[in-house]
Amino acid sequence: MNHGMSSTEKRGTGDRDPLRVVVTGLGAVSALGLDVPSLHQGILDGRCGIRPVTLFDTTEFRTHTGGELLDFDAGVHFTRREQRRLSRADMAGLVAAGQALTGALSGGGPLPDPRRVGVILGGGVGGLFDSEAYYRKVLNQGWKSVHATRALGHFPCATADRIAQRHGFGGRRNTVVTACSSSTLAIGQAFDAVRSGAVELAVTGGSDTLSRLTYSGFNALRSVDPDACRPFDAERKGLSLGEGAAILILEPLRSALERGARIHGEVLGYGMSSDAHHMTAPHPEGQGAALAMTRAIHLSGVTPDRVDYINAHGTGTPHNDLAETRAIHSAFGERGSSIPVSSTKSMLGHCLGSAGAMEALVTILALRDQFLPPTANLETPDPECALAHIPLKSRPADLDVAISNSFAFGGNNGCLVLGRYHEL
Amino acid sequence: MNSETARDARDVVVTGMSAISPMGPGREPLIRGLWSGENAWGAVPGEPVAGQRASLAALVRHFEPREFIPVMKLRRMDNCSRFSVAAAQLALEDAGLLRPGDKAPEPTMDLASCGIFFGTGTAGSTAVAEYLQGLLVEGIDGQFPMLFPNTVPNAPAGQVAIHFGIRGPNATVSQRESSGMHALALAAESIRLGRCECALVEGVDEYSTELLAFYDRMGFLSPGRSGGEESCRPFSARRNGWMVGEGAYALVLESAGHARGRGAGVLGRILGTGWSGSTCSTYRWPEESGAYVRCMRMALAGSGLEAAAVGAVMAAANGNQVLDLMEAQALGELFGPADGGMPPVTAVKSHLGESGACGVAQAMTALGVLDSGTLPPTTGGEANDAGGPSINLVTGQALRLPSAPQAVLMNSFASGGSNVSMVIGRA
Repeated sequence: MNHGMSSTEKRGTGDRDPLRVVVTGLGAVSALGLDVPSLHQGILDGRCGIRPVTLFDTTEFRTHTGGELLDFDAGVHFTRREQRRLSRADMAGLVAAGQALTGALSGGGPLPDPRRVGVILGGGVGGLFDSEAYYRKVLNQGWKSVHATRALGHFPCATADRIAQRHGFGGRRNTVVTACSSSTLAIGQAFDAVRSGAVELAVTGGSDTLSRLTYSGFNALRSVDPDACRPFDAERKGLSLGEGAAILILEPLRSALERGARIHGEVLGYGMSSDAHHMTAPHPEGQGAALAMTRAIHLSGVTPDRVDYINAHGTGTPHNDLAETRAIHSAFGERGSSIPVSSTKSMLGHCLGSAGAMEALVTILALRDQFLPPTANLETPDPECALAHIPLKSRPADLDVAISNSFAFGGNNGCLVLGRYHEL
Repeated sequence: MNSETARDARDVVVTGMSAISPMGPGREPLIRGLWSGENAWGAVPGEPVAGQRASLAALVRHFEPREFIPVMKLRRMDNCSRFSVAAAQLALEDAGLLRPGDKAPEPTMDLASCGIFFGTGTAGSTAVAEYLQGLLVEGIDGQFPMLFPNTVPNAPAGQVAIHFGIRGPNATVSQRESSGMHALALAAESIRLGRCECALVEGVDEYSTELLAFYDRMGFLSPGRSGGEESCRPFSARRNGWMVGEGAYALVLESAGHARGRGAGVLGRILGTGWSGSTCSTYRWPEESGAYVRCMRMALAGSGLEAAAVGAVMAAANGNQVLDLMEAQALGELFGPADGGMPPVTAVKSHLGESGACGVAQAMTALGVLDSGTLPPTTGGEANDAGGPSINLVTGQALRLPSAPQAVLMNSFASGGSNVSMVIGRA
């Protein structure tokens, strides 16, 4: 069913179709640096941001590495009073949103009505890193030992509220919490909200941080690689956890052109599905993942043969990478082994609630600057993962359409279809 | 098919509903309980934390999970998942998509085109607290891996998908008190855009000792520091805070075309949705009503109705000083004075307590209003409760409307400032 989703014919003609949704702002705080240029350079170089974790003591755990934010100094951005009330996830999200908005609104044209600016984010464990410290005190010293305001950032929706509050945004505001696919689905929801006119501009993406609970939980499931993760490698042992925030600004093409905003890329559509199989393991044949990709491509009005690059979910666990390979072959048939595929998680770790947004942002950069992002640490591709890998280093390429996959705990699958924006 | 019918086919209708609520399992106990002015406050389990003032909550009663879920599966589910799977079964049966006693939905239902949309304020919190009790006190020896999958808030939606084999779009949203209505709005939007043909929508939350203690220490709950009676009194001059509720409330939505195609009975129609954001502190409600008015106007505009066509209002009010006053102001601005154009208002959080699930409970109540032509009373306050915000509040007993209502307006306004309003109309 076609509801006027962007068609291939319309793509690149620069027409003023009010239904086209473009990306006009990017912000990122990640293990490769505290802004988009440093992330961009790190990806181009195939640099791995996974290092020994310093945020909390990992002595007891089986593994000790993660994609921790490098030199994130809250004092640069927030007053002491603000730091007491904001979680690490709130702070990362506010910084990334500030970067994205500065870029999007720098064109000089008329700004959108702030009451019609929406904030639609994906969340993960949210402020858990901070509320763990709160709860530890409660458990050891009783409820009176620590002020309850220390737990205010606990829930993942706090970050969306904080961003809206700081910038005075009064539009639709929501937080998607589907674990590892949260921010992919959030970008999809923001796309629908912009297309339907429910908001004039959307701040979307996600913010999530490392926490003791997720570090312990994935270790207990034995799904963490003791070294930096190696997606699609024959020797891969599991994922690496990561953290950070990635924010994208979405708006109709028409208003972006009117404002003279820089257009980084286009959102063509998205698709969702459920594995309905297992709480933590993917469907072995990647049935739900394939359904999400097929659905996303169909709803975006493009055809599978137009897809030039796949930013994989690619966690580095033996099960995921195999199931995702099968899903890609199932969704693309013969082309499944020739479409370039890579995993951003090899450089940032698995950022859970913000993973989808990080990867959508990297995919938009790839489309804008015409390069294929690599899979770091991919020394010996697993013959079972017969895909057109981009090992170790990025390389230039002609890209027009790309997809970004996210599959989650609970069997929640999401796939975004993104396009290069062609200048008028 | 002409263009009129084609457009009509993407209208969104409700074809089933049920709940696992403090009134008991099922649709009938909930409707009966609300309309008879019952509330379900009970003593919270366990030892109260030192200095804790709140002692009551609206907890799920008369629910036997083994009637719905095999024992081996039950062990892996927290209360949110148990409530959710049971409410899903009852709602799918109500919609005629599942025969009572059957394990899987009717073969007539395309499992890949059915979506699942959940709203939850705090699902996963109990598992998080339990997991951390082990990890933070005993270290790695205290970690209990089986709890980990339940720490994610999308576990209930995942469990429902697995239990019934439903493979369509699956999303969980969390925005505190407005979570459930956000899920309903998202499901309706997804059907309208052709992302799925039918959708199971649930609002779900479970009672947590740690959260009650946190809310109480923050001074949010009745009786708070007032020294008054512990009671939930939306819009009353004597209100002194909200009270905690739990449960799962479920609706089945379908495109009108899909419902017609299988000859399903239609309970109501989603006519319009409005969203807005207030800018206020986390966990507080805004001290201005403009965003509420914009939210309700957007929902009315989407439904193509004038304010005068609204026959009843399902309010967001929960006994909080600021929320209730601001919602009353917004209703006054939209409809005119209580003795003028304002339709009767009821606040079901007075029966069911506050939670992220309530938005869907309000929708079930709205469907009951459209069906019966009567409104359930708000409990906890009196009609002549002097000094409260001036609105047309139904109290004491159910109110028969002078004529069959065409549409009901529902508000879900969260602390932190995320607002949703929806208009639901007759079949």
